[in-house]
Amino acid sequence: MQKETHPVNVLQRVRKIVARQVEVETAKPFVVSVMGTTGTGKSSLINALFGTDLRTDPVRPCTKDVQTVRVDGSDGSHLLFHDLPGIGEAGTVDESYIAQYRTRLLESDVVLWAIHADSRSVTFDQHALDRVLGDSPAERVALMSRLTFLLTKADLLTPAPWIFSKSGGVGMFAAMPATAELLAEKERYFQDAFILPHAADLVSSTHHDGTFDVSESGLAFDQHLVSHRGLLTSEAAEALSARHPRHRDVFQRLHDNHRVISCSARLRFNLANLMFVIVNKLGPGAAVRFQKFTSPQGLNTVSVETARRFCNLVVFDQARGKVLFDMADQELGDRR
Amino acid sequence: MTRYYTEADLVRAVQRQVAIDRTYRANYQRAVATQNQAWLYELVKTAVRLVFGVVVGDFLTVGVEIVWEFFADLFSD
Repeated sequence: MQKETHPVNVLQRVRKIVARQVEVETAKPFVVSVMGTTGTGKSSLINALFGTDLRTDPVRPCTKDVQTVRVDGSDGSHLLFHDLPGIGEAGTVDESYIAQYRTRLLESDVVLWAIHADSRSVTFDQHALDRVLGDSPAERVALMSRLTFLLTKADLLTPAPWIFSKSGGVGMFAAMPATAELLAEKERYFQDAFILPHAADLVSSTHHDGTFDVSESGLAFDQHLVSHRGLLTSEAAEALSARHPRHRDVFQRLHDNHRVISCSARLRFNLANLMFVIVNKLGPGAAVRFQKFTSPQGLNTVSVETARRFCNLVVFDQARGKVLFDMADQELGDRR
Repeated sequence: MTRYYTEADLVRAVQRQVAIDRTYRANYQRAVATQNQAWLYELVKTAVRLVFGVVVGDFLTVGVEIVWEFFADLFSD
């Protein structure tokens, strides 16, 4: 191989590559993919996160095949959703089918993997994940670093009551301590099942305040971003924070990037937290496109009127044929 | 170590991420305009970031090999 020695030629060619990529980047749609078996609430979640109106059906599955929905923005930009059912759900699948999945995920800015919070079985999804990741080391890193695992429908996990923290005509849902503890335990269990086996394929990145200067194994940084290769465990993040307390928030975000996150589209529970992790994983240029389709404010907020519909206890006196108590009728400060 | 991020955290994160994206793009435009000694480095860094993803220090999300493959033809006949 003979080296090209004229620097002007090299510069011109690099310049063309960059100019072409900038053009492609500017015209690209914002692409979101959600994987998960039937009934994990993929469409509802997307509707809650991005304000779309994808069809949902509580009885029949809406998504048996891969579906792509296009949403047009007001300024000519557009958003694509790939709605991907569980691999193998509809029968045996061959390698070309898996390759289609992989291609869609690799072209996505955001990749979510939805698992029903009430599920305890991991085998089906683990097998699907192994197949989707494939054998190419570069693609495995690209996919694992972008994936966010979710425990959806957290509101159905237990019959324990939820806290509705009200302020004026709106409020936010929070889990009771017992439910919060259960969710945290589940998040750890699913992290061990899905993320730990692929720890070597992870790269976690986040911004810093411009003063980051820590040289430690696995860490690299430039003037804007810090990256960590591998899974930054809670213990490792604490140890780094103890040695470099000024950058505690950076280590915390690097750690949080690869957590499993429980959420509820119905209660809008934990959606801002989920979106924060999604933003940290956006690739170059994607944040500008992302901003056009999201409204971070109010992501967790539910109106009192909506919250009232989640009240679910009615006491009926059979002898008298009379309703003695209806939780939905209780005074929530929103009626005169 | 786990932290639950609020809507205010999210708003700040989006603003910061957008600012970083714009800075990288401005660096590219400045590199082209000024043609100074460091511009090849800036261009390659921007190209790598746009084509492959986040590049930080000596490693990036897709691995060095694939980047070398992409740029190898620049340095050969």
